[in-house]
Amino acid sequence: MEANKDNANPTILNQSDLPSRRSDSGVKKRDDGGTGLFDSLVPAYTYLTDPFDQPASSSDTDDDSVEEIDEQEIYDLISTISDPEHPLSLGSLAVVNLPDIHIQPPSSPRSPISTVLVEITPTITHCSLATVIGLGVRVRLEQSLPPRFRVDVRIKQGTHSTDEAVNKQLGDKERVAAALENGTLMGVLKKMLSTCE
Amino acid sequence: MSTNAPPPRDLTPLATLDPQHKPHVDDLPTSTPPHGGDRLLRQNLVSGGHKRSIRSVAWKPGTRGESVLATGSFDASAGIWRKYERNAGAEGGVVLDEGDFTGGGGGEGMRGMQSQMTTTPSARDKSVWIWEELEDDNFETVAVLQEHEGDVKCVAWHPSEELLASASYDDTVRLWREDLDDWGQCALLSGHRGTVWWVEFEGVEGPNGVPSILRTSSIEEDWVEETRLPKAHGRAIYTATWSKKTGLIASTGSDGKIVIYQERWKSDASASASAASEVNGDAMDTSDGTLLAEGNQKDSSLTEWVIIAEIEGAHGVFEVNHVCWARRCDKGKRSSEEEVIVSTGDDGEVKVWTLDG
Repeated sequence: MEANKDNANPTILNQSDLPSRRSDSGVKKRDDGGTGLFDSLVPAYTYLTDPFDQPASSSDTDDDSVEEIDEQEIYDLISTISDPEHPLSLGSLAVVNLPDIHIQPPSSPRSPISTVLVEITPTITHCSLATVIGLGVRVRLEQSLPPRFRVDVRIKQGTHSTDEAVNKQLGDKERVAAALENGTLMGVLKKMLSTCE
Repeated sequence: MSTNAPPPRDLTPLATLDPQHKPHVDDLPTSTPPHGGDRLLRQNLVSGGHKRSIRSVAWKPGTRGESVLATGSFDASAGIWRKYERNAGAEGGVVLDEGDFTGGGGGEGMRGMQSQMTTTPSARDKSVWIWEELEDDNFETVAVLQEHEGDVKCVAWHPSEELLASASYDDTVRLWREDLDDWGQCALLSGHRGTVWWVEFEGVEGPNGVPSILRTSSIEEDWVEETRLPKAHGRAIYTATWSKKTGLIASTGSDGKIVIYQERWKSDASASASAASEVNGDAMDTSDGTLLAEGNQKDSSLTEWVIIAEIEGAHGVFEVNHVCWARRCDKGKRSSEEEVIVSTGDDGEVKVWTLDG
């Protein structure tokens, strides 16, 4: 069984090294994926963020205000997905990484639609399961996020031998829909997603 | 488009229909629905034929006394459905027959056809099947066209010629004709940089569709990109469709917008307006969010396409899969020629829009 795996000895990250809100007390992790090395060189324009970014507390939960969702939240949703060939999470295999998650706001004030872009890093460049992993990420996000998010899952450039072909496949709504009606594939996906929450 | 000035006309919602089936209304038959506007009623529910999602549906054009519907499904079959009109007051006299095909339905006699739909990501069909109806419910395979290198997303018959267009995941549009009893590819259009989701011919007015009685030995044709519509979509465009009455184009897609385009004379060329000849057109749209129109016998320099209306979030936050034009029939209609736009979205709703202003 081990011999059949595309990558029998993947690199595994420690659970405590994975990005989470709890680790904020230690090294400050920036949402934009930067290292934070130059943070001290940049003046802190706190007034730019303070008054407007703070939602008016929890009292407005009953109106239709849009709930903010950040990259960490996306990461938490998908990092717990299991790898299809290892009993490990995509987060611990560094297949999904916080700096490779990007949320784009609506393109115009009238548009209600935001975009989530997730770039996944297959464990090796010819991993044949890249499409299945990408599909799992897309399905997980489409099931958990509000429908105003368009989910784009791509292979991180240069990390896979056929990344453009996989990207095109993962971006094709019809192919994804057809895949979700495929019993065998759905079985694999269910198993991958069974470790989420 | 010159600047960010808002388009001059408005798309106004007229009605929302409840199709009472599961979400994701993918496709609408591009035909005039039996009712219009506020009196729209769901007439019939057709079910039980397909085992998996139905991806497309089309009316057989030009029939009298019966309505025929072709359907294509993820279950790798196409169905033909018939409703006979019975005049003798037999209310609800509906007979539905289902042909059981393993490929696509339609053909020369019936001018509606489907490409075979995909089944799994690994074993995907890239062929276009043409069927001919010999007599009632007896269909024969006329051709299987296998040049596409990716799944076929859409097919369209020319309105007056035996010319078929197919659009594909391989980023191309291919045109097909019958040559000495054999169907073959006569043109390859490769202007798009993403999946081509939709292909449709411009309507031809009157019997002017006689461009090629004299054939050379080759069926190769030259199709050139005639124009590129103003970019209005940020994500894949799923449909671009011509109004047969007004020549306007409506487009929609993943970004949830509906956009209406109009072709008009360039102001400096208006004097020579009558010189333009318009024979063939063909609209396409793709994942790269651009819309191409291609023609083979048209002087393109005299006109330009402009956006005359657009609406964001036509189905709320959901993707819009399809739009089509239909004659407006409700009491509120402003003229006998007025058209409405019908759209379908991932919210499972069918919406009807009027073009105002």
